[in-house]
Amino acid sequence: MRLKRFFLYVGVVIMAFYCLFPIYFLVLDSFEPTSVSYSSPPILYPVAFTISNYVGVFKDINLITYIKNSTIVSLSATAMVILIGSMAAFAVSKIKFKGSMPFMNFLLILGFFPAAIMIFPLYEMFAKFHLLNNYLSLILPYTSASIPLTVWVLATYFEQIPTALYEAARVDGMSRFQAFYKIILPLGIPAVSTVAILDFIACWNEFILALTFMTKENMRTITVGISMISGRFAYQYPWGEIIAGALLVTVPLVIIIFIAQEKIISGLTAGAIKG
Amino acid sequence: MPSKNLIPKHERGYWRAVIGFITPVVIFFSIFQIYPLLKNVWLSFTNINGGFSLNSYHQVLTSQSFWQSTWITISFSLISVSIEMFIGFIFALLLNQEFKGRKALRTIFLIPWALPTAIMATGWKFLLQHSYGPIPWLLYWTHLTSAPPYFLSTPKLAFISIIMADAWKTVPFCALLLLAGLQAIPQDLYEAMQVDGAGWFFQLRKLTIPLMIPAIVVTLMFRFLQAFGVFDLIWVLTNGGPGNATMALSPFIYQQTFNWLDVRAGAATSVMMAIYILMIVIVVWTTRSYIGRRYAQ
Repeated sequence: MRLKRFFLYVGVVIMAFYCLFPIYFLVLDSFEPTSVSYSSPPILYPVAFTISNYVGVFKDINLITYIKNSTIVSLSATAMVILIGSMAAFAVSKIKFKGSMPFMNFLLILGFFPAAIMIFPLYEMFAKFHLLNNYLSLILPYTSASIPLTVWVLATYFEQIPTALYEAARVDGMSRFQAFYKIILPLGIPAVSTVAILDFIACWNEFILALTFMTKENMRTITVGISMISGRFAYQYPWGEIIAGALLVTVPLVIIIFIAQEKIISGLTAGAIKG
Repeated sequence: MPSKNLIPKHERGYWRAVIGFITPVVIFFSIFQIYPLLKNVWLSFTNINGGFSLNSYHQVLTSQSFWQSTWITISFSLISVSIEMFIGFIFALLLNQEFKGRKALRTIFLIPWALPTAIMATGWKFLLQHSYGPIPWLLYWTHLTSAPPYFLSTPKLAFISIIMADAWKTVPFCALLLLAGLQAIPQDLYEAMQVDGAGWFFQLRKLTIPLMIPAIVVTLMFRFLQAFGVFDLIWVLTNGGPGNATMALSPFIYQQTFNWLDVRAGAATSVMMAIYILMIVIVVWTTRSYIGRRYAQ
């Protein structure tokens, strides 16, 4: 029994190490002066400390602008997909219209197609309507791309809300829409907040569309902004600053995780196990 | 048990209500998912004057780079997903035990998953740098290699690099999904087996794994299709290179369309990729119901 505990804790240490060792090296590098971080072979423990990388990243890179753009785009898309996705989820789970199962499977399968195979027609369309370098060129496709997950998670949750409540509301003379937003939606708040977090993270992390539709420096989102820094410096790759920037923009995500880990896990598993 | 609706379907305004509720989603999906797919199908079958032509398919299907990309995509997805499911399953079994700090560890597990792939890839690019990155030197110092390897400039090692980075990001995610499946297994089944004197491995083989099959299949399908469309990781970490050694289908389409400006070839490749994905979905769908029947009690 004691041996089993021992092996268990060895396993636990390995797992923690697995998740954290790259992050350790990155944090280490971000606090090192250039002279140390460019030494070869590298020094894998702290020897010198500086915050100049963190100061430099704000000076050399439009980090604040990138964060602003990502926030605007992700929040708008999340709000929109919650609005329209909850309505569809209601129709599927409570009105249970004929063909709702094929409808759900259709959403699921189309959700599997990667953005790369639809990107050119979208690019052409946005170019035609002069929407490139406009927030809408990301908000609209992000909303659409978030539909499958949102509708699936919400429909699964709404399904568990007793239909009797909905029927009582209808018998009392509420319209379907009133029953939706006065009865079902308030009861579904836990699932709504879960899926909102997942959608927000997905939009925040999106890369290929943001890379293509936002070509002006001041319209870039955070993922593209950070990963494109390297190309702007002719002689030296400013690794310290790039990594400081990468870590800084990770902080909000880690905070979200710490606050909402139960919700995130339940949302991920609801989507996967029920699917 | 699906509850029966007391409100009759033929009630006045039934279809009008349904249409009202699902129209916004349908409009968004039509414009931003279905239209681009159909437009690409149309583009792939036309020539520059808009007439019907199979030229793009001829060009794509006879090019070596397309088949190489297909092969890279399939091998990347197969290898990385197998590794991730295997390690993920072991991690899930460990996480399913009682120990101090379990909740904290589950939180840590979410960090790689939540990191944007493009940013994670930027970090890995540093970790794998030949002269000052830690990983090549750690391999050298532990005598696993005779010199610090050039990860990003050797074709084989570049391929291994994207698998390593992908595994780092997704193993914890797979573990959490599989853990949810493990926790859904009723505890008394284990107790019953223990009463009968079954050992740990016997329980795993005869109880845990059979009951986990549905969760495993679903996780596998999600992960495989996600890996199949890989773009961010490759674009940032290796840019498809060195040469074309890591040029999976998504970055290949992107390169054809936006670097070579050959949108029709890009469209034909897109259609081929859509066909691959549909084939995978069909295979998984049918085997899933087969597996479901086999393990249904």
